[in-house]
Amino acid sequence: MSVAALRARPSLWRRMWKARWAYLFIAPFFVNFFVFEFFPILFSVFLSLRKWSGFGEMQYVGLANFRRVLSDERFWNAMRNTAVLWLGHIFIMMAAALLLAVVLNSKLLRGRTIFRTIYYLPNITAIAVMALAFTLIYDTNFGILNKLLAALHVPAIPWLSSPGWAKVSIVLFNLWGATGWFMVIIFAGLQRINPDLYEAASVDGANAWHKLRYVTIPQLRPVLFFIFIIETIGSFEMFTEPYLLTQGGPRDSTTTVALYIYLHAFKFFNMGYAAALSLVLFVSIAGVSLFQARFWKDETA
Amino acid sequence: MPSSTQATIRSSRRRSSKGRAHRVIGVARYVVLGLIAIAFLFPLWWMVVGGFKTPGELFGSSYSLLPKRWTLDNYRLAFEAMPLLRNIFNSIFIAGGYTVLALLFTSLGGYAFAKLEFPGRDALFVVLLATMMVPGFVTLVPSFVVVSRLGWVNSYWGAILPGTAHAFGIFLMRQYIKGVPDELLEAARIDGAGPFAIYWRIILPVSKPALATVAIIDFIGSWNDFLWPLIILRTKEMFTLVLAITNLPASRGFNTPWGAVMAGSTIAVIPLITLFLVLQKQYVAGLTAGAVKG
Repeated sequence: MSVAALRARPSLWRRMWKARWAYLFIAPFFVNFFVFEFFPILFSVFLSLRKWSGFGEMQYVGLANFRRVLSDERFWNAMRNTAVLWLGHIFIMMAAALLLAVVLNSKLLRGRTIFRTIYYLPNITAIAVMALAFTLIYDTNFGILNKLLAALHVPAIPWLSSPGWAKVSIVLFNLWGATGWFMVIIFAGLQRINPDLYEAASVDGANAWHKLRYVTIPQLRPVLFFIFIIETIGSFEMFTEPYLLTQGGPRDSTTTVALYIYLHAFKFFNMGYAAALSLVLFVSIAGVSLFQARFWKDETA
Repeated sequence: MPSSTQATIRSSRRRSSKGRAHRVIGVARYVVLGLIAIAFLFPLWWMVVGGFKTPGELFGSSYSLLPKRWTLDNYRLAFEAMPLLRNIFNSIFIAGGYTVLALLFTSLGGYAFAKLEFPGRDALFVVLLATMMVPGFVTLVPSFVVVSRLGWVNSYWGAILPGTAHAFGIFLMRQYIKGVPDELLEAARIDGAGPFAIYWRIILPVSKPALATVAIIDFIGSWNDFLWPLIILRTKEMFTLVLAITNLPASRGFNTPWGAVMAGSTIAVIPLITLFLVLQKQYVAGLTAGAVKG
């Protein structure tokens, strides 16, 4: 290595030509990236300054689309809904996943692999398809959920037809669908914690709660941060659940930002406005992510 | 001697009373875990049995865990209401095509980043990692415009190609291929093998576990995908299975044959669950690699 470094380096072009195979091998990624990610982001800036139905002529409108965003009540309502749905499930889900992972990590527990598999199973299902099964389960008149509640003398709940309950229904569906994913990631994180830490804690007289609070959670911090960010980004893009369970209703109470963008792009044919909304969403997600990164970092310091 | 016996008895008694408390906690733990398991499995169960129930029972006032009268009418109806065989073929072809291309592109990329020297390698790898943080929905509208300009709307190309060379897969393959001993590659190079020959004859065969991981994750992900097919595929003949089933309530409203929807859902979901149960190890390994190693 040192001998090679001492030798005069061949010119950059020569070295690149010599490595042409390597560039060919990574080309598919970068072509895909430029065509379907980098160029689309630039193109959405271009598009956001125009009025365009998706067909025919584009019309330059300056910042009109962004001014419209500011006064668009439906959009800000969608932002609020998105934030409520995000806050409504993320902490419950992380706490539940953490507890399940810790419990299932006990070597003494028989059948833990089976439990883990069952909890993970919803992740393998197409959530679009499962949303249909949940539509039946949630049905106010015929749904099994209300029939079971009736057996307990609980009056029928308008799961999908009242603004408040519709949000609850989406959150419950989310919890059903994604808790297992969190659990598996946390479980993998648990395997990497040094067992000596627990032993030392036991020697110091720590009980199970102390171990969770002072060993497990601090040790899992990077993993928890990872799933928190991933799930936050995912929540801000939530589309399929409201699209199929509630169609954004009743009365726009479950219209998320993603659903609202979809409607403008593919139902109202306001491509320019949809692009402007996408950029606002992008900036929001970036902002929330950066804020969280800071918050999590401060906590460790 | 007697004192030591006494000590043993006392300690064993203490252990047994502690053991009883432990057993109670143990049983309670199984009950809670079991109830959660039932809650997770119930929607799947309800979907499967719903596919075998008569409309009268599906929307009756009573309920039972098993159909009172088993019927296959829903399956017949599902095949009448949509070009189901074609939809199944589309799902297999699109998910399969996506998976095959993803295996090729991610293993080539992973090999280049793991074992080949080239100017700009580290910078390009950082770019690759950074792209994983771009939220996909943000580029949905312009990506659709790109695909429509390419003339790929309502085509297999449009449904398959975008995203096949994905950063996560390349990252995963790179981590694995880094562990392949350099001596192995050096020996092949001395024998006169070029980079592609080394990839084909050495890297691919030894990377089977990582390839299996990418394959299972991508196949399931592509099979279950909803949003991209929804905007790209426009006619019933081009719909994937997931799209065809979700289109029934969307297009028929109050006349939706819910039994047929549940039958179709069963066809869309259960084979994949079976596949997952068989290949679960590879799947979980890949899923957690990014989170824990990264």
